[in-house]
Amino acid sequence: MTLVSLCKNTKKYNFDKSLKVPSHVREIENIRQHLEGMFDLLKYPVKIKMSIFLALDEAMANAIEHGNIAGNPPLEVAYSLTEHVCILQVVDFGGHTFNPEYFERLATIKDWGMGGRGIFLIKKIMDEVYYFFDPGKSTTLVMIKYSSPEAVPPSVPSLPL
Amino acid sequence: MIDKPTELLIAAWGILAAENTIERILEVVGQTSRALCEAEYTTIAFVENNKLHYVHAEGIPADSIKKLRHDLGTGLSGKVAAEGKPLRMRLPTSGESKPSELTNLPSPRSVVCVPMRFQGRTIGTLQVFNKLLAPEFSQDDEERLQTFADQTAIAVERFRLNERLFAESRRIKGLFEAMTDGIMVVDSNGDPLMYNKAVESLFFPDGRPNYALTTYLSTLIKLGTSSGQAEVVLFKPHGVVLSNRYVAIHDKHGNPKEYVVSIRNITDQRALDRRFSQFFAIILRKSDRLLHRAQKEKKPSARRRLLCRLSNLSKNLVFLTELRGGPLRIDKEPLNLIDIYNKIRLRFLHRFEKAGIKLVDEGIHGAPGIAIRAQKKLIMQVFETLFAKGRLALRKDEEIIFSHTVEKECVKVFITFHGSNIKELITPESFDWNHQVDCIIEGESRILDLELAFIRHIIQAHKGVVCISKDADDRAIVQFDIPLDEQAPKAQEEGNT
Repeated sequence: MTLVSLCKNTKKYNFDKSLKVPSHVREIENIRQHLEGMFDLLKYPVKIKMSIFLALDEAMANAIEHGNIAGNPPLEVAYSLTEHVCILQVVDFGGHTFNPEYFERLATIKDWGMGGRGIFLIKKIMDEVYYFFDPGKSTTLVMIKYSSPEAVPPSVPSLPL
Repeated sequence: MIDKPTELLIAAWGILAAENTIERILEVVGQTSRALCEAEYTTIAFVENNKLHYVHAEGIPADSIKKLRHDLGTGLSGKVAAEGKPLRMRLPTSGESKPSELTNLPSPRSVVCVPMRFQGRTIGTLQVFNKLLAPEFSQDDEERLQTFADQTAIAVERFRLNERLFAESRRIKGLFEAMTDGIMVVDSNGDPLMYNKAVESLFFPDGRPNYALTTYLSTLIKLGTSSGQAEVVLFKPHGVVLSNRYVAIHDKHGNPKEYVVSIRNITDQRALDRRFSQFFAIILRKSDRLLHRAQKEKKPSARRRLLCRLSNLSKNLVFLTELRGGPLRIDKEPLNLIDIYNKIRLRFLHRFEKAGIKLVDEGIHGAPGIAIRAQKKLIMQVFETLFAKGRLALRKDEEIIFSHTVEKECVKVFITFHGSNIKELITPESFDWNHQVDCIIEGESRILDLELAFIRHIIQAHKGVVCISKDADDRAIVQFDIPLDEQAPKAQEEGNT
């Protein structure tokens, strides 16, 4: 059970920064700009940086369009960045549960109808993708990308505590 | 200045407080009590199931007390154990009778026997024999030994408690491991304190490191509620859906101290639920498109064709609902299988002739009746479906062959389709409704045809079997067995047509 025990090294992590963002598509660009400088500082390759932005765009667009329906409450965007790993979290407060796998396949199978492109792209681009549903309250999407293929941890990596 | 006995007691307490093996505890107790009372030898006995069991001796061979046990209240130590009071005496050396438990001991002259007491309960006795350099033990010896015996009782009980806790912990661990669902206890920092193997396999498939568990625990603890349940999709790289319930255990100040989390893998269940939701969504969308086209269509013949396709879709949805619903409920009645076949034959004969398809069933004429118990409408549906499939699949000069054999308990019916187009239309997969549903969901097939799957359902409801075999590329044989009517008079004779 070494891997579970190794989680002790990571413990409960807090994000470096958590932002409350109005539920509007124009905010996507603001978040991009906010993160861009930090990626450059940590010397993330341009390709990785653009991939992360694309996934973030899709995640935020989904949260704005489908997540927040009643009253449009603000989204929560949080991130933790190290030179090896980027962890992004997008939380909407719609509290709708759904099956991401269904939407992923919706994008690939013609007969199924429209939609699913965002989830399909996020899964394709990011190294780890997790959804947490608190029914009726919130939906949390956590996306993780390593700065390079070599940065994939040989053991569970340390995160800011 | 500390006197020697006190020094011995303090040293022994120090050792006993740290010792975790019963053998070592007994050894220290034996040696210390012997030194404490300046005795020749010592024995220790424990109370178990109303008997006193001798477990250790110091100063004499262990064999002297091996398997020695007696009832509480009998003998010297039995009396001490029963009454909980110490006993000090000089023992008769000859002539008079000695207590029975002393007969195996080497020349006992004097003894002090004290109870080992813990929380008002006697858990055993401690005996010292033969005061060195004196004919008998003193009051001081007795008091010192009693003080030490009580201390020993605490050490022994502590050891037993540890043993019980260890056993309990092993039992709980066993329960943990036996569970197929994940269960874990984490502290308020998200550190896993206890977890079973299922947790490891859920979060670290193939033993590959990732952030899933860390992220999961961080999100869970952040919720801050005392209890709850949530659904988690570990989308990549795991591809699993988890349902979890958690309870926070609070400290005396009301702050969450630990979380007990139970995690269930519901991937398959979710996949099954959503499989049919997806399937029905696809079919309903198709129906909607057909209806829309039919409404717009001006040519009556084209409209009829579209409506016919729509009707087929609805029929297949009804089949699917029945197929998913489990075994078909049937209302059996006595029937003659040959009569039913002939009825359907008559319906199709003209159509086959028109299409130039040969129906080979000469053996059926004059064949004796075959009594079965079945639902007439459903058995007719079986023949009708197979003939209709044959009519669709076969071309001019191709043939459909009917034959049957009556066996001891069932009738075997063979319908052979012989034609160039057979390989695509009548396949083992067409009898498997799950396969067809999967093909539609995956977009591999656009045609839903559950008619053949449904005839398998009908035959199974009659406790029969359906199978399909191909002995050549252009031949498919559908065989189905139906049990004979056991109550019917033995009109049917075994034979082949």
